Amino acid sequence: MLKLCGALLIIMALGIVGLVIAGNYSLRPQQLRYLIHGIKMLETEMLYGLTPLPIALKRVGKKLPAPVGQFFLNTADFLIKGEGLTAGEAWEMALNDLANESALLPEDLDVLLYFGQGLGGSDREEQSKNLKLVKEQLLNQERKAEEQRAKNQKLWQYLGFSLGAVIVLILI
Amino acid sequence: MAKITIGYLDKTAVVNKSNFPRYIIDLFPVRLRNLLIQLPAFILDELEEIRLRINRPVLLVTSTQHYTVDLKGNYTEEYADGYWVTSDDLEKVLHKISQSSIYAWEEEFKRGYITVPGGHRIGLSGRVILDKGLVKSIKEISGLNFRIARELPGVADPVVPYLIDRDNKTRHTLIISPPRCGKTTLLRDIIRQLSTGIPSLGFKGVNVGLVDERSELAGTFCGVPQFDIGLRTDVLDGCPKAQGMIMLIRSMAPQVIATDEIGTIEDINAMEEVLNAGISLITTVHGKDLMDIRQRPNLKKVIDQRCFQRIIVLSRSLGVGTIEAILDGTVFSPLIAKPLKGKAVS
Repeated sequence: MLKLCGALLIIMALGIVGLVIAGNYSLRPQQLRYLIHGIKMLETEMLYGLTPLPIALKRVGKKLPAPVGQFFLNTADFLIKGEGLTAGEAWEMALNDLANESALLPEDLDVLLYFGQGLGGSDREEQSKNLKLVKEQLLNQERKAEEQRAKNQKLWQYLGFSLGAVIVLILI
Repeated sequence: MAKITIGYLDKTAVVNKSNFPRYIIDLFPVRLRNLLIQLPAFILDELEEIRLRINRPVLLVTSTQHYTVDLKGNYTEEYADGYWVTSDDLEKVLHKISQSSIYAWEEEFKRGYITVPGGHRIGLSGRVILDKGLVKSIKEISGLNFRIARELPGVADPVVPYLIDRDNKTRHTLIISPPRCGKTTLLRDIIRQLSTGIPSLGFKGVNVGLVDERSELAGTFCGVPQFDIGLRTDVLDGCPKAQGMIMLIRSMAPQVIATDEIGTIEDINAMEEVLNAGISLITTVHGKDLMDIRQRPNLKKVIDQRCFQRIIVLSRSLGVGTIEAILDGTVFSPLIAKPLKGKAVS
């Protein structure tokens, strides 16, 4: 009886680990999609509404779930409170928090970092080009992330349980 | 309209118990700000402009004198000792003014100045970008001029009795003034008084339409007038004068239309429309005196047609805002015996 319980426990534990890893694979494309969505909203605010960044970022942030929404809100906060901080610097600071709290990979963050450097510092035409570029790059990342998810998510979903079963078999 | 809730937007805060707005100082980079807040109140009170030019000392302009501020925060007339402005400083200021959103101020860059909360204006100079021969924007900003706007409620007190006729109707009025003589301040106060009403004259307020092409009279920031322009004033902000006057007649049914600095033939045509609609017109023009104005063909016509019932001439002969003359525009006879000292220099 005890053996059976132990065996079940091992299988469950490893199974859950597998599910968590699989979940992470689906989290990344999802967060990238939120980011793309956010950038699109930011684009509308910036290019058509001519809204200054602190307000634009706040509006975008409020419409998106954490951690992506929080990232936009943080940028706005840094921009408002920061002493003479440029939008690029505020963006970069908020990006550090995002790196810790999201499933995004360094290569995704690099795209955002590069975009942030030019944020707000030029006229509409140039901002429009930057926004277009970052959208394309993020879409690219999202596609890659989606491919990886398709490949790995199923794998890890089963792998955890299978691994648990194997260990149980060995131990028995 | 979006409410701006940004920490540094306290419009009423001042520096060193002077009347100098804190908000302007807060736009400067920390280094420069720390020097400026040490200036004595009597200089801050008098400051009309702060000029920043790349690789040159910061310049403080009062109505009579130029100063600079040295690295210890003392004011001096030795410019070489002053704080030398770097391109980094200018960039920081621009970021702060634009809230890091240069793209949102394209129209302002095209016009060459930005209006900020408090109605103060910041002039820009730099490299001009052209598009098909028209100014598109200014890049590589090399000079900034902070023009401090100060409200002077009551400057129009000596003038308004002349502007209202026996039937309590406002007379068509032209203010003639050289630059920096208090023309805009006077017009603003006239608008305020006509709009709110003048109890001492038994004048009840009337609806005033204001075409504020350069955001100077109302100092509109994000849709909110930063100056007191009266209880019954509608503002068309940033609107070309000629179109704006016609729009106001049609949309807001004002009894008085006010606008700043007329001159082009389109303005004159729109003015005639206003006069024909039975609306009182109050406007200003750059110039030294009536003779000066009559040398300009467009304006000569309206003056000679006796369109304006009152003509006010400003100067600096007794200090800023001196009312040099008030003329009856129909017979060109003076209505005051001698120039009146402006309230600005009290």
